[in-house]
Amino acid sequence: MANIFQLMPMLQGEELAYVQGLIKDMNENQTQLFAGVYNSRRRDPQTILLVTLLGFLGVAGVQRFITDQIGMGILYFLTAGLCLIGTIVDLVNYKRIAFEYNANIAQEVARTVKTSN
Amino acid sequence: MESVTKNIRSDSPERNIGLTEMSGWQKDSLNCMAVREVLHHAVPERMRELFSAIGLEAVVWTGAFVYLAIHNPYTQAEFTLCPLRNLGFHYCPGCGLGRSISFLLHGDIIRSVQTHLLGIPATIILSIRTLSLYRAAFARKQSNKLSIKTRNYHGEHLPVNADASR
Repeated sequence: MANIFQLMPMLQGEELAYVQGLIKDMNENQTQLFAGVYNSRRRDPQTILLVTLLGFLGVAGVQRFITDQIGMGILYFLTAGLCLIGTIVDLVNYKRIAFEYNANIAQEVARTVKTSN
Repeated sequence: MESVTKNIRSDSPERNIGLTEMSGWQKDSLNCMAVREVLHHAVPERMRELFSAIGLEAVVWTGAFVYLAIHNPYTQAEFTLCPLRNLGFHYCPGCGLGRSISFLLHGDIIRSVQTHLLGIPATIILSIRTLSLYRAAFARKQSNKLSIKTRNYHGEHLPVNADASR
């Protein structure tokens, strides 16, 4: 198994453990492929944090749009982040929002990679 | 036996330092530890585990729904929780959303629509989101209990061949 730190140095904590579990039974090629696709598709928690801060400037809910929660995104956008309360919740909770999205993407990519070769 | 314990209590150097002889930072650290101890025991362990498993978001939305269900929307609020209002803004596009949801939870659909158009959609979207968070947390707990990875993070079943290869 290739060194996960070399391939995906940005992973931390919960996400690292999750991806490690996924690539456990992959061969070298599959792991390389997985790392490439996953790197380009995942959302960086810092991006989520910065985009959440836009809520204080009046554009709330971008973090929900980019993590595929369109309904919540529209609700946030039209109500200024539920009157700032939702924005503050997401500011505290940004890592979990990112991980929730990334875990889903990682699962999907791993499934595709395993069936492709 | 009693004399031994007495000896330990009175003769050990740590015990002999009274509060008066302690320096400022020692007192501070003692106070800090006491506060942390109290906070630690204020919430039962099972409760803390449950909170961290469900996640902050679901807890906040559930709390909001419970508050709005208990709160009486017909009385004019004398204080407001809204951070924007408290900051001195007089208009916010979400103003009245809480009251609108509260009216809806009390069964008054007409007043709910009058107060804020988005009250009903907001209730639907938020409850769907909250339920999906609970569902994911429950599925994660189930798969942890089984200690077999049969479901992904979101509680969806993994394909069978993925299990066989492990």
